[in-house]
Amino acid sequence: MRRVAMCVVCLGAIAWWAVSPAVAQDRKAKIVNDREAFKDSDLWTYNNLDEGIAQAKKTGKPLLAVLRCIP
Amino acid sequence: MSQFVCVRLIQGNGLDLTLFQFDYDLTFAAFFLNADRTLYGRYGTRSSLKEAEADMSLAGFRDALAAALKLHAGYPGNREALAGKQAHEPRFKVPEEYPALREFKLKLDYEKKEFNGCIHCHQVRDAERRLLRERNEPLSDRDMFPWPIPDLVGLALDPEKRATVKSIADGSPAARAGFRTGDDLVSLSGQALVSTADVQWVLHNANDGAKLPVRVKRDDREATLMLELPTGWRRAADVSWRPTSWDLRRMATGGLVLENLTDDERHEAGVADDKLALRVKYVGQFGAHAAGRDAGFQKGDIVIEYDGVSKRLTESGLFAHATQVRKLRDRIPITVLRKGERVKLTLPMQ
Repeated sequence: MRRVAMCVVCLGAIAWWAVSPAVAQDRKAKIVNDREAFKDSDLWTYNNLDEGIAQAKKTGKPLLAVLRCIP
Repeated sequence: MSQFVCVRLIQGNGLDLTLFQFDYDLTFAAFFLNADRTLYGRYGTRSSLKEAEADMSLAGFRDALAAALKLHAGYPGNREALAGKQAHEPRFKVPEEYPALREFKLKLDYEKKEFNGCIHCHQVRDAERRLLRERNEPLSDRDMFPWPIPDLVGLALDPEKRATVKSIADGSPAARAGFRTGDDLVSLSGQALVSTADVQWVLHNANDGAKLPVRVKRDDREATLMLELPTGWRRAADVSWRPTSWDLRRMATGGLVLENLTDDERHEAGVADDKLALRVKYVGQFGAHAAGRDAGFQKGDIVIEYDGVSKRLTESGLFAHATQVRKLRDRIPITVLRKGERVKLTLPMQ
């Protein structure tokens, strides 16, 4: 039942996504919040692999690349 | 963490597929690399939809970080042990080169408020399968059952550790190889391991019948075991939980979600234990996912014959039949039980 419910929810969500500016706004908010959370980080390079590789070359450190989708 | 240069990547747009090859159904994946792009290892394992991160832990991630640092300290002297870990030549260098993903942009400019149009990682696997399907090429077992978890060969690894055996299934390939609980896996097929994901990488690329040497640490001593993969070993994998099963359903069932019957339900329906019995749990209602509905399937129908196959199959096994034996636009006969009566229907393959 849970999977059925999930599928229904997914389909509903997709349909809603297509018509609702509120969803776009929600996604925008999630991205903005995510960027904001990492903005002042000394540790993280945000969404820029080339910059990370350049830093790794400069510092001699290994690189940790984390892939974390914002749904 | 401060011993690494840390990069957070939040979308699949422009993802370098010559470097980032992993289980695209994950919610979290990490790569440990040298600045020259040599891969030390991967982190990230998943075997459930609901408990997406049950196979991962902070302790396990910490162990993986420590193992990656050791490999970095030994680099480039350890190049040989890293050679097999490197990504293979991909079909396409970035996701947007797949025909199914050409509408997406290589880069989203958030400064210009391009907040939509993200490529999600699972879409890479979807696009690969769709490409093969549209070329009328059968999906290989590797395409169908990607990134096998070690449990498939009877080896349960502890999520709290780097790669330590938690339990072994009786009669499994792991039991035959001689694994013991508590064994610490050092290398597999000569590849240094930093995590369960590294074990999966080796398994993902292994062929039926392969004999994989495994170096294990046991009681402060090292030993070599031989893990032999039987024919069809990865077909026992359950792919139905994966986000990428959504598109497999479009292809194989026209959007129907199928579930196994319990033993009691089989008995009640009069279906033998070794025969096919998958109940329609959900009928898709939109677009290509409504093909099952349009073919006349109803919620509660029990599929007892699928394209002439009446042996017991899981939903994953049924996906495999549809994508390996049948081609796009084939029309296949399916028999269902509906209120005790046999009903014959025809489903178009998509």
